[in-house]
Amino acid sequence: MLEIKALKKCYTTGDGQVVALDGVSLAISANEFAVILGPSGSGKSTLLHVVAGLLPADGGEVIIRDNVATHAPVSERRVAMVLQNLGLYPHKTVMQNVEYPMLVAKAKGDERKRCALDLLRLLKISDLADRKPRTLSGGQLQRVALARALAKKADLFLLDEPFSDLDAQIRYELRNELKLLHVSRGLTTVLVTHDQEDAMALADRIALMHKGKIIEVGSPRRLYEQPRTVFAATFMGRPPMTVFRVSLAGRCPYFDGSRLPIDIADTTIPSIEGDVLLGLRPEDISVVMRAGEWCVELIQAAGGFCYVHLKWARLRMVCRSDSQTELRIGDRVALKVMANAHFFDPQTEERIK
Amino acid sequence: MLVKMARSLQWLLSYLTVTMCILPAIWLAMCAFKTRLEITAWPPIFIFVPTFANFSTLNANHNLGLLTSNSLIVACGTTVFTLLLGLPSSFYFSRIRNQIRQNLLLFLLSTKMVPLIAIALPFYMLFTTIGLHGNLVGLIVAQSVACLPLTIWLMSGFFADIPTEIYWAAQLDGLSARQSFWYILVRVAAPGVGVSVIFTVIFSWNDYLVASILTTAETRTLTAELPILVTQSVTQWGQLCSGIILSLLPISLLALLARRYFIEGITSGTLKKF
Repeated sequence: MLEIKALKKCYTTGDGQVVALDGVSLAISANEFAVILGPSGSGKSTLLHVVAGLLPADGGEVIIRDNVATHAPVSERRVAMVLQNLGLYPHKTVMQNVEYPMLVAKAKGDERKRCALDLLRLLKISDLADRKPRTLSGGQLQRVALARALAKKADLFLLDEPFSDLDAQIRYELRNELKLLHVSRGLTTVLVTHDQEDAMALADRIALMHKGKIIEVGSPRRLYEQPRTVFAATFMGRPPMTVFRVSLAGRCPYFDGSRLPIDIADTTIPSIEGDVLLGLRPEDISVVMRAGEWCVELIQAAGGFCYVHLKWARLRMVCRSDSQTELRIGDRVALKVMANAHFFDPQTEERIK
Repeated sequence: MLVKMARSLQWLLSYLTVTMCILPAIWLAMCAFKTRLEITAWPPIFIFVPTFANFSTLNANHNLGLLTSNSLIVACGTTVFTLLLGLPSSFYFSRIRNQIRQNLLLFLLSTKMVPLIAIALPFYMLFTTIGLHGNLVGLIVAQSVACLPLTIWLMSGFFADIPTEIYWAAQLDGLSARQSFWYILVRVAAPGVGVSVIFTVIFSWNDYLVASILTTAETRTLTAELPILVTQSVTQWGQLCSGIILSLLPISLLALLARRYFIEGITSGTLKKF
């Protein structure tokens, strides 16, 4: 449905050129929910703007439904988009805002009304139809913007940070509704976010962006369980994976010359010698309740479980533990890796197979 | 106590200011309905039987219909021309965010500091050469040149306050870039457009200098005609006052109708949230 080929985009600022998109290529198939995930400034919003045609590309191609659309004006691209700051028309009511794309498409008056009302009902804002945007709350505005975007007949549905200004509860609700909408209306959706939780919850496929490049593309599960890069490994998951340099000798990790006091199954350690980066997720490590070398520094409750912050030598580690644990600050415990330990090459920062 | 006194002082001052502004107009309006003797009487007369004689004499001696229609055509033409040119260029100014914009805007505004006569005279010479002298189109162009800097200055502020997202949203909704500007952005900036219209109409309608230089008897505007009543030997005070009152009517009506827009426009420019 959407194909992006070697897309380039530069900005000229006061201190010279900033490369926002550095040869981005990505293909998204029909009915897919793709999430472009990355820290702020990674160029993900720019990518969406170039795809929509709001910003001109400096190189590369945008192909929408087999048509090269790189230089087509926005209005000819059949793309619906929810902008980050929404851009609702302040002088129109909610109803008029939602109707507008259909008005432009020259739909008949009563059909327009009916269609807009259906959308407002779908997004549970039909009672706000006659209000002006400035009188609405953030969550309501977001729903109006969604409804307006859905009112347009489009091949692609683009969303730029749709949940960024919302509080957790509304965010959660709207996220679920969006996923349901995507399925029920058979949309092809591209969503941009910096929040890995949103990405995990929504995406069929995540494209991870950093500094204008796509670092990795894959299903949320693959990206989480088998990250190919250190960047992906540390960006996905909260609290983040702890990554540190160890040296391997005979399938045994050493840290600062002493043997790392963590119980890791031999079979998961690659049979190479020398320095590697070792990554451990909090949820993959468990505390063994016997005297060990790790000192408990902090215990953080998080509902049904808690995070235990530990220290050994100059190494700090977070691990997840169930909330019934008898641990106290200052206790000395041992650690055991329950699932995967991740190993990366220290030069390329890529996963070691 | 002190607060009370300060408040009364405020009231007093504001009433005084308003009176100062409105008193000449009231005096003028009274003179328009007085006979010649009553106008020049000393001490001044405040109670008198109003007469419409001044108006009928004025109408008999001058072609009021033509003068008014000229004034209307020029005011409307200047407004339309100023907006057609001024709105897109102020939008352009609002989108460049660097030193060039500041410099260009300052240069534009600096043309407002030049006395109008310095613009009117070259126009006179230019228009007599190309045959636009004594032509309403010429007057419209000249007045627009005088009005454009302020309009662009004012409107670029309004457009800069509108988030780019609204412009983008309009294009995503299927409008072309040009349509997005004229249908959505201009509408969102309506308070500013209202203020620009009022400023332009008032300038055009009240303009004496440019109009008296660039027009002939057939194309003269109402404002440019009235000073003819002041001659070296005699001044037709009654006719002059009635003419001024007539010329004030449409502009006052416009100001009254557009009052809401005007207040909104001059106060909301920088504060409005979208």
